[in-house]
Amino acid sequence: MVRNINKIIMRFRFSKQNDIKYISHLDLITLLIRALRRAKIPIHYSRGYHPKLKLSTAFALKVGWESIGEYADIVLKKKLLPDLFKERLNNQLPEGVEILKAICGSSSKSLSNQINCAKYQITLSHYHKKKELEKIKKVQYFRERLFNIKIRELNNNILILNFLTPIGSGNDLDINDFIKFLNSIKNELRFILKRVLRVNMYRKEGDFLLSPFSLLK
Amino acid sequence: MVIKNTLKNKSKMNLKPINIYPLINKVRKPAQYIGGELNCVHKDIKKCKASMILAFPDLYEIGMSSMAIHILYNIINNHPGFVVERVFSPWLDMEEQMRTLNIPLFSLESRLPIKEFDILGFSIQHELCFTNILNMLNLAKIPINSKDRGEEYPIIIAGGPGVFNPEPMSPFIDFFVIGDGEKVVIEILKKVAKLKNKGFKKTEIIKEIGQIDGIYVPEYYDFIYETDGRLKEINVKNSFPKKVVKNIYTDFDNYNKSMKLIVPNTKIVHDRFGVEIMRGCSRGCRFCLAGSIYKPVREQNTKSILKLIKDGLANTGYGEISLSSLSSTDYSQIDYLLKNLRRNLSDSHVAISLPSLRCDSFSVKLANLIGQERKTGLTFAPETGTQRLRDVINKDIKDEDIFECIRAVFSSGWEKIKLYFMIGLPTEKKEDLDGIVSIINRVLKIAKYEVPKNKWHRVKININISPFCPKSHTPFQWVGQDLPENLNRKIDYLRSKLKSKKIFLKIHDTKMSQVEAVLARGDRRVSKAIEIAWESGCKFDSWTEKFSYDRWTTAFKKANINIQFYANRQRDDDEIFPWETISTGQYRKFLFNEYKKALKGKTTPDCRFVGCINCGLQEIIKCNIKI
Repeated sequence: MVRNINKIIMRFRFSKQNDIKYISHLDLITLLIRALRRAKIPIHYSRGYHPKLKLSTAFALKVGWESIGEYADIVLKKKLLPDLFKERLNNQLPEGVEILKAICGSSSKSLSNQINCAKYQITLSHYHKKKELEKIKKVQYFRERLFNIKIRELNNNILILNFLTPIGSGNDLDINDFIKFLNSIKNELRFILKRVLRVNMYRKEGDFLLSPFSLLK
Repeated sequence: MVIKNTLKNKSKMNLKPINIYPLINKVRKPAQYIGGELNCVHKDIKKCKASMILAFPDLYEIGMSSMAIHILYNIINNHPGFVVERVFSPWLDMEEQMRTLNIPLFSLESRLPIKEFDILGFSIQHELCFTNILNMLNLAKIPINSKDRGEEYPIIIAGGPGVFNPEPMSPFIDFFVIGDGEKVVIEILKKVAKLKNKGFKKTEIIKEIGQIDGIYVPEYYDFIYETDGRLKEINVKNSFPKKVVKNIYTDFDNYNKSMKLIVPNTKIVHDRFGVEIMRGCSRGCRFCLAGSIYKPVREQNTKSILKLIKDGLANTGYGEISLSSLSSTDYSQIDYLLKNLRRNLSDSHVAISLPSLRCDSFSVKLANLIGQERKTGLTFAPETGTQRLRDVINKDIKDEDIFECIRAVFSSGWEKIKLYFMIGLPTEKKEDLDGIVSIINRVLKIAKYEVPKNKWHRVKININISPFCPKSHTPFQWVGQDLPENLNRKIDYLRSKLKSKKIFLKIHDTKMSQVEAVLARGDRRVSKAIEIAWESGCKFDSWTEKFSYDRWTTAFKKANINIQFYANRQRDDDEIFPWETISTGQYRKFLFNEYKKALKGKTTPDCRFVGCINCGLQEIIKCNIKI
């Protein structure tokens, strides 16, 4: 494995929304790489017969889900002002993908080694009163996997759930399973998943949530 | 002129985009239906004088890999008064959703029903997409037969290599565009815009467009048959040409200036920046349809190719370019071009690939020069197992070329190779099959000798074997295809002889090839079978897992089509062919002479090396070959 020690890393947070949410994770990486090339960002290429660039992302988002909290690292040939990076890249990105923040630095660990927790917002439609839903919090399956659950009810039986969940630990929450599970607790409860939005990703250490940016050296 | 019953007046219509989200949440690979890619063009249809939809009768990932789509898309959209949008065949899951929710086929750009465009143009690459065309029309809620389509429907047209024998599709298509479409597509749009404005009816517009060079309107041709099923005569109505001569485009530099490739958001088959460095091939292989219909050779200027690549990489961000043509190593400035590219691209880390390499050591030298990707290996087409049969098909490669080529491949560090062979060629004997076996064994030996022991485990020899399928307009248009049972016997024989673990055989379906052969040289009567086949569920026929021989044979039977009459029958020397209404510029007597020479094993040299061989092209275009 190639370590990124002493390499110039541009870490950036970006969104994946609107129609672009329908492209796969691999397609998204290709899209970012082509945008980086068009933006003439000084990308570092590995030496060798077929030079490769190094763009690594954190955890893949399912096709159809949205996010305003995706992260990626790109190794650069030389330092670049993060704001310039952000501006140049945003000029080349399609609607729905936007660089929200960038920080230049170095890191010995990859994003997927650093991030261990994600914040989601999911939208459900349901046909029940909110207090019924408070029961979710009491089920052990969720106590293990969900933290800081906040439930908000909109009109028209729309329910918004905000929560934190571990990611990349083997104890991840499968949101589709989650919905199935919800529907099986009490037969009369019926939820339909309307939207999944990844709000952000963090490194959780004890009770502290650290931003991936704060982990750059 | 009365202004009613004309092609729709768009400004008065309420064009509403289709809400595609209920559909695409439930399908695989939804990215292919969303559009909005980099460099795609959005224009307001209502404000354009004429609108067209380019339809590709296969999946997005295949259609977007076709240069034709990109070229026409650019040419039409660069014209201020016209708009073109795209549509591809939806995969079965999407079709099911569309039918369930009663949503018609829509364009990628505006998401408008494709019925709302003035012209619907299909790009037909081969015969096995015919049923997909009918399926797309049906999904668009457009009647498949031209005679059932009133004024409210678009003019349905088709072009591409698959329309050089237009007859099997003639009842479904209003007119065919024969040959290169670059120039004529604008003429067509101009006529439509003008006549629509004047209030012409659709049939009148089609009749007018029929006067343009290279346009074949099937309605104006009557076919009369003998009692034994052969064609007796073709009657031409009115002043329409007896032979529609293909269009030949020469002004490449013109559109290249503003060419912007659409960059897909999802992986496609050829996911790279494609540049057509040359059109046509003068090698004269006697089985090759492309060789016949894309004549003469037209090379693009090297300077303009380099500029096109420079601009193209900047506006697409692609990391790979492909220099495409029928025979890229035949490009006269290939060495110079590659060296320049190498220099220009040295610090941009762009990979170059050269498809369609000739089977000789020069090609390998070029592949080395550009550092062609090692992982995928190189592909060559020796086609036959013996020199004798290679002379029959006029493939100008010697056994020594093949072995020199293979030696160069393995000694330069490649570990994978793919070789194409054909079986069922005219005059083929057992020795020719044994020849294939011995070439492959020799390749294996060379690999063993050249590849270091520690890398031997990576060696892979991929062998593709396809049945020969006779095509119209080629010297082999008279030839009956070998029967599937014979072909299968030959395949079994090859299988039994090729047992090495390093050899990976991939064999083209012989039954699929037979259906292809019927359609390739079919007449107007075959159209009924296509319609029945589609009704019985045939679609994506070129996809092995979707192809159903049973459905096709049933359809042929119901339509009273004798498969062997079309696929396997040896044609009479003076037989009238259904595609006689179309001319590639080659004389029939030239093709016939080539055919007779083939049977005697006599070759015809490449006209670029020996001067004009009098194929007929010189009558319609100057091809820069010495007479």
